[in-house]
Amino acid sequence: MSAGPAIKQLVHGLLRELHSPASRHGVLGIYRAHVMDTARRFRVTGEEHCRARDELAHLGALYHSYLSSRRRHQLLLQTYKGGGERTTADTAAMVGFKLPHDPR
Amino acid sequence: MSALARRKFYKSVSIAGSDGKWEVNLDHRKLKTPDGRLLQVPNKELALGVAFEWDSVTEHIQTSQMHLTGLCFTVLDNPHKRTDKDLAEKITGYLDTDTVLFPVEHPTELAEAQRREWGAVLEWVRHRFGVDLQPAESGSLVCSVPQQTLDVLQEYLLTHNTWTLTGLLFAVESVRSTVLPLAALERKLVPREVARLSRLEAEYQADVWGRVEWAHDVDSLDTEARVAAGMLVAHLCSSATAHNVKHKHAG
Repeated sequence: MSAGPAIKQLVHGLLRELHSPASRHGVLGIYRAHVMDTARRFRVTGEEHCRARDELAHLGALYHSYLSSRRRHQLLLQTYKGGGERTTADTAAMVGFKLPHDPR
Repeated sequence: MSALARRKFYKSVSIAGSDGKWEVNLDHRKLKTPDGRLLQVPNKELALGVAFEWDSVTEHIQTSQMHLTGLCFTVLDNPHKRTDKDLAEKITGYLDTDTVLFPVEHPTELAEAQRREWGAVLEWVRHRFGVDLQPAESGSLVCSVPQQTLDVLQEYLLTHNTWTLTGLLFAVESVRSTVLPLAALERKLVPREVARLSRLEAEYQADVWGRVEWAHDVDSLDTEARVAAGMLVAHLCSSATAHNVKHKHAG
């Protein structure tokens, strides 16, 4: 089976994405089980070109692409998230000034 | 955006269902669409995909970043009251301003790359659907696509169901191209390639002038995620895949 190693890599990639720190419990277990179970079911086909398996591998690749790009996108958004507007005191501090103690 | 986002109000996420009707539960409450309909999807994989999006929420629920959920909401609520025919027309409607039909003239390097890479996809479309589709003349703002090409593509699109068409349209809208997502639907391109091909000019400029992570990478990853989500829904719910047929027999 020529597609073997590629599929193995894909399954590992998917399981890695599904191991996100945000999600420690809940649906994750069902998900991992589903991925493993599906992968196992399709491992034992003697056919060189199995249409269903190719489609499944394609779906897996799509999902992996979705999960990893979404995770990296959110990471960047978080990293570069604006801290909101600076206060007058913060702005003054940036250039080494202090505000008068009792502004009126 | 975060000011409008709801705080996470649930602890556990699970799925339930059988026979082509799968639901997502948030702490024993069923997930509903914005219109109050029960979120019911045709297969377990999609339900799991939606569930994982809700499960990976840490603090605020930002549905704008949960594309699978958003697509399911769109199909179930159909906020624009679109029929399949409307969807097909909307998809082919992007053809006359399709990204890949407008290669630049200068700089030569970029022009060459666009003609080569987009040319290959266009050649594939012409061959796959037996239609005529040529790049726009230089300087024109709209490409005149032959009516016969539109008819053939619409006929092809109408062999798909609402889920597939909605997923495809979502991908089409994120890359402003009909051709690229169509190639992805036919498994000719993967989402990362679709995103890259739709951003050839941006990538070229980034290479010349420098890459800014918070603009270029954010954009390309967002595009990839959107295309992947659209294609995922399209493929998972397509009635034509052997995978789904298998499920039907099993159920």
